[in-house]
Amino acid sequence: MIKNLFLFLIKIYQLLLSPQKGVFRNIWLVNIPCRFNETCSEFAARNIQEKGVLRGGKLAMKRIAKCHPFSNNINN
Amino acid sequence: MNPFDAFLVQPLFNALIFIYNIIPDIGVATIILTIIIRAILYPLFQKSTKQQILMSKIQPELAKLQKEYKDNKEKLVKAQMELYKKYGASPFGSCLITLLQLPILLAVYRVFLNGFSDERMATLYNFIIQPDVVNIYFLGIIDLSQPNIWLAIITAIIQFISSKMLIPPSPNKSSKDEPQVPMQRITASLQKNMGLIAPLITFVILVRLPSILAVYWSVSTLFSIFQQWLVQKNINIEKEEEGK
Repeated sequence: MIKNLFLFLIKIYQLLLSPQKGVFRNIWLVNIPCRFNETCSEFAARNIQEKGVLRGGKLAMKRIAKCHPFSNNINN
Repeated sequence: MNPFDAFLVQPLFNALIFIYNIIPDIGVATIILTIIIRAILYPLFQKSTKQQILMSKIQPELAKLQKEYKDNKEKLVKAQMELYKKYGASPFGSCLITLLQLPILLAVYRVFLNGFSDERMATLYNFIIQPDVVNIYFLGIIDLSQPNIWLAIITAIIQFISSKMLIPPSPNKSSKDEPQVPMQRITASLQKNMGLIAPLITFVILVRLPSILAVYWSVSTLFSIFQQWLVQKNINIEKEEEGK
């Protein structure tokens, strides 16, 4: 149940606010395309689905931390 | 004064009044301020546009590589880095820049929502002349401190155009994977009707707020549309060239 709630919230974020795909991406000042081949929210949703809220959520946090201009990472 | 107000809200408010002193129409000043903010961010905008075009070019090759090196992650990473190098694409942090702009964004909304009370005027810097009264009428007719249904409708229409540009034409989904969980059903129907829901949400939000926000929202959405158009145009040109 909690898992579905999280997945639901991620989906809402993707549809509305995500600077990549959300319909309201125009509210952001700049939209920079995702460096990964799977966006952070897709990654989070997949991991929460497969590994549960706690473990998946932890992986998602780690993933977000990997996204900065000094990192060469383009993969999960 | 907290740092958020001191470093973001106050400078933005001062800039708005500075522009207002030159062009005494708060609506026009809002539009100019929005354009200035976007102009300052233009290098980032350019980079992001270029990156979007590049990504659409690389994507098919990236998918190919992923299939090829399905079982060898190390090789996949290497091949991908080479592909990026070949096209001169640099993986460029996006979440960070997105998060960094959040406080700026909130400050912009704050400035427009705060209004022009005496208390606000007290935050003007010494070198900014305080106007005797702030004429809050846009083009002399629309009171921007009050909600305005027409501006909300116009903004919703602009939002509709912007959303339509983003949604890929008719995503053909097979009816096989019918969602079972109610939440999934909600999101599925949301996804289908996003083009209409977005302008509706815009309208519902803006119809209750000072219409100065609608002016800001419209101008920035027009920028977004312009960027999307630019990206689409470039992608199409490249596709045509490849077709030749």
